[in-house]
Amino acid sequence: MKTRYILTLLPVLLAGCESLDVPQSPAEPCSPVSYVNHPRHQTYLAELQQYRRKANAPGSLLLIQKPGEPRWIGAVGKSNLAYQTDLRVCDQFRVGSITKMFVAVATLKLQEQGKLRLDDRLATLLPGLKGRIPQADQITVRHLLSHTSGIVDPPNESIAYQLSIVDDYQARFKLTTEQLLTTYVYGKPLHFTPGTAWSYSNANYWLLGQIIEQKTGQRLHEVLDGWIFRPLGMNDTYLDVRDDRNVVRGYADLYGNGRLYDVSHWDRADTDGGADGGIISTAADLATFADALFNGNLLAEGSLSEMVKPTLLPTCPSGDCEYGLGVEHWKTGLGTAYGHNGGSVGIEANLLFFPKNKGIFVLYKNNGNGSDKSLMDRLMP
Amino acid sequence: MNTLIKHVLLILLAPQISMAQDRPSPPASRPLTVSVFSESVSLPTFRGFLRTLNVGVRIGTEFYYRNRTGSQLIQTLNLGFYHHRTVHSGLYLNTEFGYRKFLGNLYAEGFIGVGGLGLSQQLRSYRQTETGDYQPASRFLIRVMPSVSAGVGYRFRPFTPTPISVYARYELFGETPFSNRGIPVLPHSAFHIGTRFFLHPKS
Repeated sequence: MKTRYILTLLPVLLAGCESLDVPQSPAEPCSPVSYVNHPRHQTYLAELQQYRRKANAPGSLLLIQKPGEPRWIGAVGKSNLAYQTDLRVCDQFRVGSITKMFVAVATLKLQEQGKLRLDDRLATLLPGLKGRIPQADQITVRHLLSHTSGIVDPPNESIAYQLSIVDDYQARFKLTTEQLLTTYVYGKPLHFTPGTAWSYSNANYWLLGQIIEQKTGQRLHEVLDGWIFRPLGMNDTYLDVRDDRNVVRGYADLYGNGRLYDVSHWDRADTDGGADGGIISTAADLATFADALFNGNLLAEGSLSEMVKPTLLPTCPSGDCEYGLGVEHWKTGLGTAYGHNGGSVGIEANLLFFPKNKGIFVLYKNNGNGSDKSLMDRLMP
Repeated sequence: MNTLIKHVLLILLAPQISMAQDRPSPPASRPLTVSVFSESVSLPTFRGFLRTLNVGVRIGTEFYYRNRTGSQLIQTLNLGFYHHRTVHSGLYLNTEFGYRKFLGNLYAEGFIGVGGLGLSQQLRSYRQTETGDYQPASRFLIRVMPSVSAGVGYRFRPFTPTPISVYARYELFGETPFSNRGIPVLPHSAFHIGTRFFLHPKS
């Protein structure tokens, strides 16, 4: 009889579990410019809809800016499936590693101010790291910016790191950068001698964030706000951790069965506030940033040249690592484009500048799986 | 998926059933095992079990391929339930094959097993409709649950009709298929504290 009670009780327990709360997007003011009258509206919209369908994304957003035609922004699909909220062109989203471009700009500005040099050593800038990161006295700021330090990359390499977010996203949310470094980076051997090879690592930017804060005496989000966001009028962009109910929610196919899970809690815990991928922004603000940066309105000419100069190492394919200082080099049909990809479990964002025609391309979707971005070759020339 | 689980269970239990039929005097009663455990989504580790308690309970029984004074070859059959605070709740039925070695009243044991795991997920999920829209999907899911475990225990009154033992066991079990960032199995760890006893005295 007791066994029968237990057998009856267990499925009841299973059915009684609550789903995680999904905050509703409030009706924030958003009065986007209408792009319906744009001369290529139908072409761009059709490409965006096709991209969203192929990528199995609830929502997708595209910005195209080219000389000779007005800026176009389009949004299709949903930003929040729990409430079937339409994605809007002015919605804020997580930009992921595009954040690294902003941190690189802040670092280069520190150099312009004479507060550091790209060849300064990590052990000199952050003396507490000596003995905790191997060869910290050989790793330079340039190595950190260009991913040639050899430092491990916990978010992409450590299954323990990834599972810790799944297991307890609230605990991960509370971890400081120093605690992350202590748990996943300190004491770990380098992948290679600094400066001899290229290996992408988010930890490089955790350390750069610490250097910027140490040199300025300000929090990183205050530095970016004061040096980049406010001067450029990027009013919908921030790095500090805020209530995220206005931010587009992220989804992922966790089981490979086509079912999408709302993983925004994980993305928020993993990225918000971080120097490696914590910025929240809009398509228009990202375009404003790229416009100012690559047209020389944010950095001195020498700093910008330094930033986009490719990292050349014999250990990279064809000797070109296709990365500058916080800037990826994309080989496209319109020549090399500068920018960055950003991704987390539930989102993918891309920001690219095409020097050949000064075009700007922003592409976002709220599904963390990779995607075919060949539409840029059709739309940007 | 349900058919697959049935087949796996049949294959694992077939030798036991066959040997039980060959045995001249099968035991009149089976031990009952009951354990409470703390579960976490993690690679093998003992960190975090006490920091965040995700509590579970498991009841089961054991069949013996070989039952000697110093060792046992065991097949278990278990029903368990756990509640992970932020991921899901799981109800499972599994079977394990194991070996137990006695050193006096102390013993060590190891098991390998498989089962079916029914999940009620906390993350909200959505499925695409024929029109390309996304609608809420069921939060229930069934996965295959491979497991390995090892533990130590102590038995009281071992050679009486009412033996009882207490044990601690570390279990690593998986949730598969899973498919994110190249990880095919979502690993879970569980630390059990349990007891084994006979509801009716051994004959």
